[in-house]
Amino acid sequence: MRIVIVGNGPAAISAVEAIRAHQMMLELNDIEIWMLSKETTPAYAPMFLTDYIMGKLEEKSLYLRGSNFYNQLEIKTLFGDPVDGIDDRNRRVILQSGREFDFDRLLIATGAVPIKPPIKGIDREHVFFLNKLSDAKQIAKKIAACKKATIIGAGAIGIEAATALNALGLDVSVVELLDQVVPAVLDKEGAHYVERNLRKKGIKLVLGDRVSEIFCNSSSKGCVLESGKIIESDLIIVCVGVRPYMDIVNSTDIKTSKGIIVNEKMETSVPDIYAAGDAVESPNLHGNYTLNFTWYSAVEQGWTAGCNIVGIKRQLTTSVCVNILKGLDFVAAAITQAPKSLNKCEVLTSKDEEKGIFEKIVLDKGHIVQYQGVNVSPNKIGFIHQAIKFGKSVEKFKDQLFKYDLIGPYTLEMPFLF
Amino acid sequence: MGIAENLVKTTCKSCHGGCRVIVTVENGKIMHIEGDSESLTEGTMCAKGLASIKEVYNPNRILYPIKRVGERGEGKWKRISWEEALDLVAQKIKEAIENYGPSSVAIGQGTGRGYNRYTFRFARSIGTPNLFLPAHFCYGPRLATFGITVGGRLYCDYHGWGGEYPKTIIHWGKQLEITNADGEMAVWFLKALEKAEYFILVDPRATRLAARALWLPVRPGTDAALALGMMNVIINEGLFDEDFVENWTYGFERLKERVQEYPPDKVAEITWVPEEKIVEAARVFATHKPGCIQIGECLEAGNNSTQTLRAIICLMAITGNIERPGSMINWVPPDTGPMEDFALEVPAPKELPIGAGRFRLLARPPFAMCHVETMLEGIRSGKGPVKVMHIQGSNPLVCYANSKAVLEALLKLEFLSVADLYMSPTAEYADVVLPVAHWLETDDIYDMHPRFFVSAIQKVVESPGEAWPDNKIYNELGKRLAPQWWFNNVEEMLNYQLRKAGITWEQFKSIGVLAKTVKDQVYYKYKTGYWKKGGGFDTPTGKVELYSTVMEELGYDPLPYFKEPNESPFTTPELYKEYPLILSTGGRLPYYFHSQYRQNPWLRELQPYPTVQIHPETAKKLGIKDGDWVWIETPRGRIKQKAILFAGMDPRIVVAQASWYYPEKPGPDHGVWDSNANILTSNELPFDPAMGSTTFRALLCKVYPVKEGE
Amino acid sequence: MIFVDHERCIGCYACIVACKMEHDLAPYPTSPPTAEPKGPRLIRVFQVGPEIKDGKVYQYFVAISCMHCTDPQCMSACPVNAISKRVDGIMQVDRDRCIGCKFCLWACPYGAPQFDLDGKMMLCDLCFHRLQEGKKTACEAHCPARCIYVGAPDEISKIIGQRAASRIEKPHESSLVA
Repeated sequence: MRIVIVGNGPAAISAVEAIRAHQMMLELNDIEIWMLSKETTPAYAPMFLTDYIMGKLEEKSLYLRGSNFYNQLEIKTLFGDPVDGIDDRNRRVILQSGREFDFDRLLIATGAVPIKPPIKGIDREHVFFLNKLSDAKQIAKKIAACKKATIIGAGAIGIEAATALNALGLDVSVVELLDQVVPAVLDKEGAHYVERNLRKKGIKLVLGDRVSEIFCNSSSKGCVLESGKIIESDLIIVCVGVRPYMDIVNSTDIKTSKGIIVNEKMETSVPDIYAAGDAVESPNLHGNYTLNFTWYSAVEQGWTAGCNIVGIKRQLTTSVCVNILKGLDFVAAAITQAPKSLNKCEVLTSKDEEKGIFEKIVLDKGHIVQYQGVNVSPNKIGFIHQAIKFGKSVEKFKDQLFKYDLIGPYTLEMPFLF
Repeated sequence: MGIAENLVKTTCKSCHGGCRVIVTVENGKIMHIEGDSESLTEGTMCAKGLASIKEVYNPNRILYPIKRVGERGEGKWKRISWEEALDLVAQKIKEAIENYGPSSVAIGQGTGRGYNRYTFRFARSIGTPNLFLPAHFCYGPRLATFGITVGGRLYCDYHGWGGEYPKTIIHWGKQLEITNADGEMAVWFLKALEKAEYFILVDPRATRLAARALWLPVRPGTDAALALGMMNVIINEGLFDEDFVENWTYGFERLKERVQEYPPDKVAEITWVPEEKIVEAARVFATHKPGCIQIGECLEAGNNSTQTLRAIICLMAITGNIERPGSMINWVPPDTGPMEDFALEVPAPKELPIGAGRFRLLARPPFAMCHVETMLEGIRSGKGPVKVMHIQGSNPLVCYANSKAVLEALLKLEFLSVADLYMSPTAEYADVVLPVAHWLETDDIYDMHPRFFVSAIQKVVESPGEAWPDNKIYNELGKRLAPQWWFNNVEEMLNYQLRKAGITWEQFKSIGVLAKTVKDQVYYKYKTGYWKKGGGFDTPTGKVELYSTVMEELGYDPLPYFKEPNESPFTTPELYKEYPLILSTGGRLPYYFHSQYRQNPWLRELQPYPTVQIHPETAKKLGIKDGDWVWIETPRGRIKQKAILFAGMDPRIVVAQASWYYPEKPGPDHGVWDSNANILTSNELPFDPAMGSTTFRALLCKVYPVKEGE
Repeated sequence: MIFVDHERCIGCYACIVACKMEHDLAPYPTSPPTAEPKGPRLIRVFQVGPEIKDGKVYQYFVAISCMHCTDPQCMSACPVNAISKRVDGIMQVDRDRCIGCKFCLWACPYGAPQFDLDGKMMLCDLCFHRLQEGKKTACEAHCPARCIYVGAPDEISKIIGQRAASRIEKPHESSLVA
């Protein structure tokens, strides 16, 4: 059997490990695995690109597995030649170079690509995205010569980039369309504390405005905002969001919506074609189909896909979106597994303006479905994550949920739960 | 005494317990400490003992004897040799005795860590009656009241060696599971608790064991009323042990008359404990036998300590819970005999200790001690006899009432020498400071409270610098002042103490523990000639004195009674208006011991700042959130502690932690004025009339948030 | 695996210090201590309550370490494959691979991953060096309340079963909690 995997990220790696692990167990022979990727480096963790830019981690530390990984698992690789399209009828993929690969099973793990906003001048040479290692390398090279930077978009990645550049000594401004930072992650109340911390670090926030033009002339370079304001910057990073990379399924029968639609076995609408990771829209515990641009989902989806590819019927029952904001002086996190409807949900909040603490918990019939926490104990996040993931009922401890260290009461009940 | 290699068995002295431990040594450095699973303590240890490596190698330890060269408290010291230091201290003591008489010298220790007998012996050998300890509000009352009522100290029998375990256990103001192993230890108690059917907890707070207990949330300072109320029920309902009362107690009819003044409904009003609970507790203790009562130190730190303890001992007696297996027992000592004899064999000085006229039980032989507050007042006013003081392991600036007054007194002394491991706030004001060795660097016999065993503390490593063990310091000082009572060296002294058991120190080191357990313990000793020929207790009447002839002789009420605390909503209603909360300074943690261990990093990280427990309702009214810093104020002063919201007590009560100072803050005070509970306590009359106990657990205070910048 | 009987735990914190000493863990920071100092703690103690409902007091302490889960969330969460499970079930961390990203911490429901001064992760290792010598783990050996049990899953199940049964038969015996 030949399995072709398009992509070389966490979902892809997880999938091949699942395949090889179960292959031994099922005593299946002759499984040939090909990994095709447009990037040429070994699989790496995209969450740490800012650490790389800051010099905290070297490239090698970003790699997901050791240097011998592909050999050890007998994976054949073809890197640097992007997949152009899929011929789902004839079960083959076509690469940019024209080369073709037949497959018995296909896994699409192409991830997500940054959204490119229609701003005049977006292609100028001092403008970067922050999505792939190559982006990070380019930014890292340029930084030494830069003094001022502008980040377009104050999402999770945006403020991570902002704090990283700020820590390196640059004068950083962040421009955000909405009137708060991280609008997709935290409510205004929680975002307020994040803004307070960012401003304390000396990062300039321009909220409720947008960049209308990026310019570069002999005397200066930077961006012009809709309000008319001009921000000089010799480095601009665009972080307005990502979208699943689905171009390669364009002329196929593979159903897509916001992403490639898969069922709980990671199967697409075409038999023997699977998808996993940032590229997919997957079912969650509450029957909703959601995008999940998070590490944990990618790993789990990849593993699930790999199992099903070799015939193990494993189901993906959960899809949790976990966002942990990096670079702040405290922990800020938002974890959610979207319920069918927020209407009948109970919302509990707790805040302390002085200490800058904010917590919001949304319960659906006593089960946590959403959580937002700013300046909370890092030890609590994992518990909330798992409680949301498996839809645990916390009805009994509703009055304890805002304790700084939560662990005690819940684990008394079911010590072997997890 | 060589240094052991690799594995050494010794005894931990981090508290009064004495768990047996195994220490791993490599190249003269301690690598590891763990409990000895084959010992009486079954390999268990507490956080304090386990953190001992961080004590031994703590960079803040005093390494050499030092002498003050600037003003008191300036922090200017000169290193001197031991010869010079000891000669100086001895000289000052000698001069004081010659010029002013022996009473001008005060010898003090703190909680004591098994060197109590050396302190007593030293004081006696130099002829001063002014031996000062915090004993009048800690353990002393127990010593005295057990002595006069029963003839000897009684301990809870958790061991079951007589064939029975306690069926009912009462913890009276005690948290034995985490603190204060005064003769009994947590591991034994917890095993017995498993087997006990009834557990009664008398404590204003719902401590951990309240979940398991019949909890009597008593108002601080009213325990005597509770005990008398329980006896009222037991006697009136005829639940008392008729045989024991008839044959082995003295004064039952008169006690019966006294307890009529304490019917349960009146007691409920006084103590804030619901009437049904008082009655239930009384019935349970009287009918489900054997039963034992673990007495806590808080009962001794009040204005009615003596009578409170007398009442509780009477409660033990009328229920027949004395010397019966699984009840209260006076342990047969190991073959060495009681180690206290080492102190008592030196004749007591002729002069009476300070305060003897007023606090006659405190001054009663054999353990006569001076009354600390009176002594300090005498120094302050200049009218008292004491001019020179030596303190061995005590921090009076933190442990005695009204720290401001204590400092005033210390500054007026002609000479002050202190022996300690660290520069405590008290040591900072001394003239000479002697460095003391840690238990891992000491050879000694550990006998903190006379009980059924003594154990060997073996030196495992050399002390850093020139620190000496307490027993060596006493011996060398003693040799200079009263050589007839002291020895050539420590080993000789230890051999001497072991002579009755017929072994030497070297032999004892390898044996480790000498204990009388199981068949060697004798119950119902009063039925034999153990104390008195023909049977009986070691009291004047030969019986358990419910009506105390000794108290009568000394001029005190021979029967127990209840007295309101000095500061309370009822005795001082005007004060209560301004200070509307009842304060107890009894908050304790399992990883600190009084003011010890704040400089131990492994322990300090568990709770770096003192906390005060406040009821959530009270906190809400005062605008205090969990974790806020608050001021606690009494007429004596105010301190800062962190508020912890604690729903397990009456909203009118607030419990602060005691003995806090901050070693990392600069000297000489090291933050002793910031959070030390003794800024709040009073050193003025009235004290307990017989023992002179000061009040630490029933005060009035007010609490309010600390504003920014304060 | 490890089981802590919260009905017996008295909150003495000996387990925390025993573990610190066994593994020579750093306390930080100490002088001056910060508001919330915590050296890495491979076992932690939490207080629950007290709460008084209908005159009854509910108060527990519970000690939690890494549970050496059968399906370890931390292992799948680690981007660089630094966490693995030994054949005997004990979790272990390859400190050379660990990059201190804390993804394991965000996945563990018990908050077990601890980080040392280098920022690298460490987990309770079930004192396997002691287990090999036939000794108990540091926390189990020193606990005065005898509330920690380490053993094979079937051994632990037996102990829990025994305790539950005796609590039903004799409610006053063998339990600190009524």
